[in-house]
Amino acid sequence: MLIKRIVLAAAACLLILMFFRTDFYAAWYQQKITESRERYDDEAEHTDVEYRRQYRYANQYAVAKEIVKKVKEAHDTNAIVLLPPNSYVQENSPQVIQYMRMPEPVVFYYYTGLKAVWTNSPEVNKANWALIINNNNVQIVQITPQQRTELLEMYKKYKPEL
Amino acid sequence: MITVGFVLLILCHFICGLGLLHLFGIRLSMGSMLGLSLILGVALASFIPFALELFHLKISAISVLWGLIILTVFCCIPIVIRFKLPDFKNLSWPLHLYDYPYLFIYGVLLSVSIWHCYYYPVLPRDMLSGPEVMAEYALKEGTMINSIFKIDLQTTNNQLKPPYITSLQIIYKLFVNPFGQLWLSVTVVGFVIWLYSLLRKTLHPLIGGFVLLFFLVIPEMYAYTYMILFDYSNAVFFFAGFYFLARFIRSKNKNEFWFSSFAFGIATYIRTETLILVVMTLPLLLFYLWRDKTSAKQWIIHAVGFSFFTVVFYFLVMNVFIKGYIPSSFDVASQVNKHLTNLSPLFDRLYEMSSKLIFSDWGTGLYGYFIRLFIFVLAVDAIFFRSFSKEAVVAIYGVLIVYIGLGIIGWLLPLADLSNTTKRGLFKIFPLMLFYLANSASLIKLSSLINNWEYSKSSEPQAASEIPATRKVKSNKK
Repeated sequence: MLIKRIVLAAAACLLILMFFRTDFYAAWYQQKITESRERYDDEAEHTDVEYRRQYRYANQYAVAKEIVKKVKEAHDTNAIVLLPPNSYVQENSPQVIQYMRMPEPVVFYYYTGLKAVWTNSPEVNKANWALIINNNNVQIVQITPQQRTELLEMYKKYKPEL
Repeated sequence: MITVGFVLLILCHFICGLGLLHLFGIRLSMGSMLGLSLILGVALASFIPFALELFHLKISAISVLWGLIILTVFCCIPIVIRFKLPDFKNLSWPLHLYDYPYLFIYGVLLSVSIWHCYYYPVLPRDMLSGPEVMAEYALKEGTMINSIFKIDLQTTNNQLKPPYITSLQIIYKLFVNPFGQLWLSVTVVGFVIWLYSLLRKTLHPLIGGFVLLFFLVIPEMYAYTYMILFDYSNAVFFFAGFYFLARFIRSKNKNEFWFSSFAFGIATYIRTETLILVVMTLPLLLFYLWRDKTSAKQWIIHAVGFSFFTVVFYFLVMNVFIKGYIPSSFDVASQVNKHLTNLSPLFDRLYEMSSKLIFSDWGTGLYGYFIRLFIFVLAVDAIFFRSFSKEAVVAIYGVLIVYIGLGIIGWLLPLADLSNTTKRGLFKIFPLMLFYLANSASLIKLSSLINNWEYSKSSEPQAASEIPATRKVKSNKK
């Protein structure tokens, strides 16, 4: 019976190999398993939590962290950040939108612990910081009520959406 | 990662799950008990932070730890009461040489999934704007009802989801790693162990192992073995409900009936829309009760018992937790389709599900060829064998319930869109298809041919009693 079981084990190996030789599953295996395993060594060397967050959330997270840094430097404990509508960024700075969409306020809070508002948020008139994106340049600035009004006027025709 | 915390949590899940199985009087093979215990243990653990929240107790490492200890001790009681020393004389290693190639490839696939789960932070937007952010701030503020509710939440309704993931994220962030998530790996590994054990009962491992491999590499479902969302866990418990319903229909064992009801309840606790699918499952139970000529009183008792846990968990999540605790308002009625007399969206959705989601290039990319394998085997059974066991009938019924039920959910709740809700809702259909394959007349016949060859006396003498009982399947049970 051992011989028969060896034959059956060989058949199992053959079935598995044939399965992953089919076009569809070969491509899937390459993309999901082989490439993941190839990344493993590099990932195992970079286990720092912040690095992994940065790696996963990319530019959205990097910009959010930059905002935190600026706010901390200004010692502002009541910062509320106005984020531009995605449709505005799409039109004004197409290069930026390719790499980063504006996070919704709750996701921004998850990243940073800071309050953010969109142009339709109830507390938009309390915003005292703004993420300004103009001609593919990204800036984080403190704003006055006057500047906030001007920004909101500029964003008026853009619907805030994910 | 705190390895000790993870190991202790796995042990805690196992004991809790095993205790619950003993409480319900469920006896299965060793592999099934192991896999199912892990899955159940994870679900039970999720009730700890949830209960702390319900009783307005602070969520902290100490309170959650005490909760886990109390739960584990409580779950030990049925184990101790019903403890039976195993029959060591008849104990044998259950695996054969031909099991190992499959176990190896499952190990490869699962190790990548577990690494992803461990290494990467939570990604799905549905999590980041709901359960994940709730869990993160619950750790800082000691309550799920925390400062996120002071943030503008008009872009999301994910804070109104059941507390299953939030609770598990809290536990795993506290005791394992900052991203949590590894509870999903425990669920997935437990599920694979259970399924493999279940398939080996009726099919030769050469066939069963291959069918399970086909299931494991369903591309979209594999992706959700490391991206936390509700659907994978929901599919696991929905399947458990069907599996034990099938066992009850065959054995009339009340314990299995109640456990089926409980599993459906947990599935509803994870995703409340499951209530609709459970209600749609009721006619199957009533049909078999009618066929067994049971009294009207028994019908009512079974119908109530079958829906009992589902209704209780639905009420607990929707009416107690979401309505009573979550500051955002949520009116289910406002989500419901206002034009219910118009049935065309229902048929449109059912048509789109087959034309766009299943039989299309997109569908193949999402689900691979697993659905085609199921249809092929079903067609072979229907044409050449024309006999379906009770288990096969339950599985086919389940497949239809998921397909039609998701169409109905899409029609009732317009927010349940095809490309997200329905796409992931279809995860529930795959374990049921796999269960059908495990009970397919053609695959059982094929398995029996292999068994006969493997255990034939031509090679080496082998006493009939040494052939495992499960390998003697020759004819399809009717």
